[in-house]
Amino acid sequence: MDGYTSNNASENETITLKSSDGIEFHIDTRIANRYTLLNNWNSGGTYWFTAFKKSACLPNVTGKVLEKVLEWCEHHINDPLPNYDDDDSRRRNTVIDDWDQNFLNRVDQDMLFDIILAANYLDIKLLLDIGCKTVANMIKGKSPEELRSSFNIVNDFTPEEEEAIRREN
Amino acid sequence: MFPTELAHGIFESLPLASLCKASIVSKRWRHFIINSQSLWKNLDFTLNRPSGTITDQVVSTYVNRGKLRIQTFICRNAERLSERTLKALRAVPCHNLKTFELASNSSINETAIVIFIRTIGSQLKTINLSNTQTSDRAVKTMLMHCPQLETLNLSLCKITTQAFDLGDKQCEALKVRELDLNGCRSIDKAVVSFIIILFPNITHLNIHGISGITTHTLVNLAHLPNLECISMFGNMYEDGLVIEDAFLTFAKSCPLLRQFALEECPDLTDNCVRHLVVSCVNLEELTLNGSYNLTDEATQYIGNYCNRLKILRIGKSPGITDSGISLMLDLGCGSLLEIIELKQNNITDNSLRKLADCCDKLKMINVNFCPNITGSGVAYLVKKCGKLMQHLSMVDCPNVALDAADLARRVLGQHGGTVNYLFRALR
Repeated sequence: MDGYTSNNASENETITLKSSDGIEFHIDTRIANRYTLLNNWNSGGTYWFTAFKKSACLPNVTGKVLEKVLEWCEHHINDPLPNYDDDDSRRRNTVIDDWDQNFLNRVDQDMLFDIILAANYLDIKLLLDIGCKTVANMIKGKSPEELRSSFNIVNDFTPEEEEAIRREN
Repeated sequence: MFPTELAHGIFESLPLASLCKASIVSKRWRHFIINSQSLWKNLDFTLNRPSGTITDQVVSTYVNRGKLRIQTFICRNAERLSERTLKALRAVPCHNLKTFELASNSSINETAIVIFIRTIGSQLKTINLSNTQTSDRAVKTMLMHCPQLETLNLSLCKITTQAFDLGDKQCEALKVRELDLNGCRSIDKAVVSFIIILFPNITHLNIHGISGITTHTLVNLAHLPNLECISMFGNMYEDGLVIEDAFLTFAKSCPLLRQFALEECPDLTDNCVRHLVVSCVNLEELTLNGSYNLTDEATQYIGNYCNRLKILRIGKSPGITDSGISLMLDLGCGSLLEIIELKQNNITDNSLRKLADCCDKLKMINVNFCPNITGSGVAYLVKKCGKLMQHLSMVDCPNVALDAADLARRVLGQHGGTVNYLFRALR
């Protein structure tokens, strides 16, 4: 079954990615070329990818998640390639544009974490950065109680411990 | 709850205050935040928080958390901090501090600064004490105790030339590449003689605001072969050396120059510009505002030789006309131009149209006090280049009507650009 096919890619310009649940995605080689890891596969760099078959299997990414990640890649296919020389300035300057904001706000929390994990695994740096930033924005300005409820976390401090930590802050 | 491998990326972009709140959420979060090596590396109080609100107590809390992990301390608007902040950093002591920026502060006295530098200056690479009580003694302490120092910003400090006179003492700060003395009004031209001995490899030097520069000052700067950026201000008096010869010597000795700024120097001639642009082929920024004697010949040289120019400021040069601007752009130096300043010039709409036609990267334009510019030129420019433009300044342009300004505001406003259109009290 075909989960997703890039719009402008003709037959011989695509490579195939297979998700952990067996869904195949035919993606434009221009997308693969933009990202180091995919690019390595494309040039036969890893065992996942063979030059003959032009396809790769992703054991860690489900079809649902891969579809979202590829939707993001497709949207950004014509962006100028960013310069990743300086890690600090990259993190500091990551501005989330409206489309990205909208894209990440539409998914639920689990899907958001899955997308970030996939971006991390596939080495898609910008998506990883804006994903982390989106979660950071969910943390910003919230009290510890609000954070526990929005991230579904159980408070495992004893009242005495919590009191001591609060005083320290 | 998010997976642990993402925790670093997520917490990393949080401001310190949120980090502290997050550390109370659960044992797992607390363990990660408190024990992370990298989260406490940068104490940057300029992020996500008006730095004028930072107090000694806030600083102490974070310093005691971060301790030896701290490599960067940045608070550029530190008006509320006192000596206790320096004491907190000294008490740890934060020996891994590489960047220290504490600017715009009048309450920390110079003795505290001296003791601070002496205690933890050994690894400092960047010091920014702009607009503080930094004294000559404090500067000498930096030169003798900071062997790793590369960038030093002392702008707007009340230091004198003596700060750089170490006498028979040894200077340890041999790696200094950038020195900013902008607006240090008590320093005079003699400082250049000390700089060329102390820091022969310097690349960035800002002596804008240092009084009494002469043609010999410029020849002295020719001893800095790695110079990439230089900023000066005021008329360059000829003390036994013709200004054009001084420019020839300087330009030939500093071929790496990327930025040259000399403002309010009426003696500057077209030939000075020629010497500069012929030898310094890498020029990206040329700031010559207030060069009353420049003519269209200068713009012709610029057009001929500066094919990497991004910033050009030639305001207050009444001798430069439309045909000079037009020729300059025809010669091909407009393709990379991003910022152009033509304030108080005699140019007309023709220059604006030419800019619009030749420069497709324009981001900022300043045509303040240009009496011959009208709304039609502004409209043409905005329609053609408005999509990329971030700022258009038209203060006291009596022939630009409100509708043209409104058009500019509408077009630039679509992507957050701004327009400065106002009339100050006309005499």
